[in-house]
Amino acid sequence: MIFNTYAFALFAAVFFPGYWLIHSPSLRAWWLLGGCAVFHGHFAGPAGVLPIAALALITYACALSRIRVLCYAAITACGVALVCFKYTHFLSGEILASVAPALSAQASALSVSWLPDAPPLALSFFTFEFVHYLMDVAGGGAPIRSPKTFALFAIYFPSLVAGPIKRYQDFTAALPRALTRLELTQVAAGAQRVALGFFKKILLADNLTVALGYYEKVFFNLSSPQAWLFLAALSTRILLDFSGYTDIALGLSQMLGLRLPENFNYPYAATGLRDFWARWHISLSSWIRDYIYIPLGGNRHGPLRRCSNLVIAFTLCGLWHGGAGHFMLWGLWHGVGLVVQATYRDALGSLGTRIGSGLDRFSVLSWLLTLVFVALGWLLFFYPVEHAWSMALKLISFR
Amino acid sequence: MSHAKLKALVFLVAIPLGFALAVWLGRDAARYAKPDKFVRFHPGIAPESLFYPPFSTLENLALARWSPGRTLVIIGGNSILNGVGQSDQNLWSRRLQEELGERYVVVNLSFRGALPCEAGALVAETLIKRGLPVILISSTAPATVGRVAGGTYGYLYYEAQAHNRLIHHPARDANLAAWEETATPSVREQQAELRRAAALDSWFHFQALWHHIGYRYGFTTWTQVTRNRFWRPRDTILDEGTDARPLGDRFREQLDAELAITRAFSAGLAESTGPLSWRAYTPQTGLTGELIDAMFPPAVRARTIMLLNQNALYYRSRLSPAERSRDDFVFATYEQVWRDRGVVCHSVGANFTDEDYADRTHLAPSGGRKLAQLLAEYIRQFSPP
Repeated sequence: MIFNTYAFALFAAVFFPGYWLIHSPSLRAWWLLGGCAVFHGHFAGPAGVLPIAALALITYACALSRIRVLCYAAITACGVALVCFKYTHFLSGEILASVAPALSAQASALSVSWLPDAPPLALSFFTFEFVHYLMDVAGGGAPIRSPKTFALFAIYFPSLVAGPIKRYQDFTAALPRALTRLELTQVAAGAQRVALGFFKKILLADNLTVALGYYEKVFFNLSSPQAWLFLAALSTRILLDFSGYTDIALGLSQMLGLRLPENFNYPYAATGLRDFWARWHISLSSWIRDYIYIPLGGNRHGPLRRCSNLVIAFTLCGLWHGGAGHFMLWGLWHGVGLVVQATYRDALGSLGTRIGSGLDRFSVLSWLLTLVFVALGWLLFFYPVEHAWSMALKLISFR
Repeated sequence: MSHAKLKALVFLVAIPLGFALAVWLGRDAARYAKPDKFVRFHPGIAPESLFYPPFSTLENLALARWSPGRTLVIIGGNSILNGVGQSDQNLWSRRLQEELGERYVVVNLSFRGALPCEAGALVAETLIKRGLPVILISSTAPATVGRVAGGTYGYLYYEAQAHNRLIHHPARDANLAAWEETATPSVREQQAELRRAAALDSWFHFQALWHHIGYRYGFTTWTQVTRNRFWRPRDTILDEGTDARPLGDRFREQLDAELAITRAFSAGLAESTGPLSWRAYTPQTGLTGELIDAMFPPAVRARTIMLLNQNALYYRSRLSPAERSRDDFVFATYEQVWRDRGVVCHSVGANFTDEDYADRTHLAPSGGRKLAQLLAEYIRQFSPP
């Protein structure tokens, strides 16, 4: 995490007082942009900044032209960059290796020599925000004319590393007000949110990470209740880690006078998978709904198409989290889960109806079912497939 | 002003005030904080349990015991001098204090896995800079010097440097700069982050405050060492080091692996020039010499006794005559490398028995006693400038 580094502490110690002391909106915007550039430049390094700068330039120019073909071309460029930087190793090392090992070895060697070890910092977030912007402009939305405003939207530092994924309409609407009027209450509320985020992230999540790191090595020696406790800790850890980080991002932004979209809403209180995705990483799930699921046809072309759209959208959602087979399967797990949830009442006839009404009546049951489903899914998220499978078997066999 | 605004104002004003109070408390902790009844850095108060004692703590431990007219014997080095294989009561450095008597003050600042130039060596350096009578005792394997930065204990170097405690030694700065230049970007960033932490700490003293709170009032981080008592203050976590197991159980575990290590110990450091005749590989001796020059300022070298540790007799006796002769040659060669740099250096363990070792490298209480006697003699003979 970048926010708990000394480099960020030094940055914040200079940047925030400067931002608060500057009263001219224009100067404040330049100060903010300078801060964002310093932040991105420092944490991403030149090799991380250049591809993003190139993509941003293409995105800005193509959207400004308002020519749909150009917007789609820019979307393709973003997609290609994402696939090249983030998924080449996965595609050549895992997918291609299973069908053409020789070709896979060649492709892997080529990718090692051409690509950096790690993709540019926050490439996925940049890509999703650029794609959203380009698609909305291609669909008739007004582009951002000011290069300064676009640059701020692109590299706004609080949301740069791990979101939330912003919508440009909200951002550009809120920015002038933030630059003009900064309220004391906003700054205080933001600071409290930052403190809460650090508490969740460092004191709780990081502690759980250390403990889980130890217990995962002895997982197969744990008793059944201990193994389930491990799963509970794993699920708690990712929520605290990610929502803690989001709290920091939202708090920092609030300290600048700008509210970012909420990303979590008590996701483990969900009583169904659909409900879960309306509460978990909200900015990502709504992005997937708007820019993958609906363009694929959503639920407009019958149940079969709807199911396949769900599976495709969530498999891509899984892959977005990382270029590896287990991420893809995690997405598939949720996609299939959503399909089951959407269809079991009709598919199972009267039995399905009875199950459905039972779950509706006893919402504790549906909550528990959702929680277990989500928690088992985290095994796929964190571990290689075979290992996750063995862990799940141990859990569900209560051995 | 509305109630909400007033609340916000109070909260925002409280942040810098609270910070200032923490800095003031941290400053105080940096001056005085240290573990009670300190004998050694056992895992409960060492980085193994994510407790990174700040440099000020190490300094305080040495200074609190010293009084004019006495010579400080600072023990640096690794797990061998930390006394793995000896319980707190049978620790060799207690015996050394008994052997040396009142004229000397022995402070064991060794850590498991520390390099000879780290931790204790830096404290000795800072005390030498202050003009105190200091002798540094450290131990290592032949050809192992390492660097003060880059390892687990590298933070101590950056802290000492940021607090302006170290002797100006351009060779060390140049060596570290050259090393960093060839390091990966992530290592470089890690080192830069440690430097930033140390620089900020020299102003705000948060390390001293944080570790003082962790030691006296409660810790926040789960660790494998402290497990279900991780929140307890570290002054309640006792030294659980035990004496070596009974002789019959000591050496047979992982015999093949340990023998392989013993065989390889000197293999890369000398080449055969005839039956039982050896020549040292010059790149290694050269590099060791360069690192000694770079990591130990001349004033520290002149006050250091370096021990080169032999492997346990149990394993050495299983070496071929050629391997034994190569070992002897390498130890003698590297003793000379240290001596050529102005460091008093002795190999230890060559005449120790099986009983004296807890495992391949660590000493049992009887070995600790022998080491203490031997070292007391070296110290009494030692005449630093």
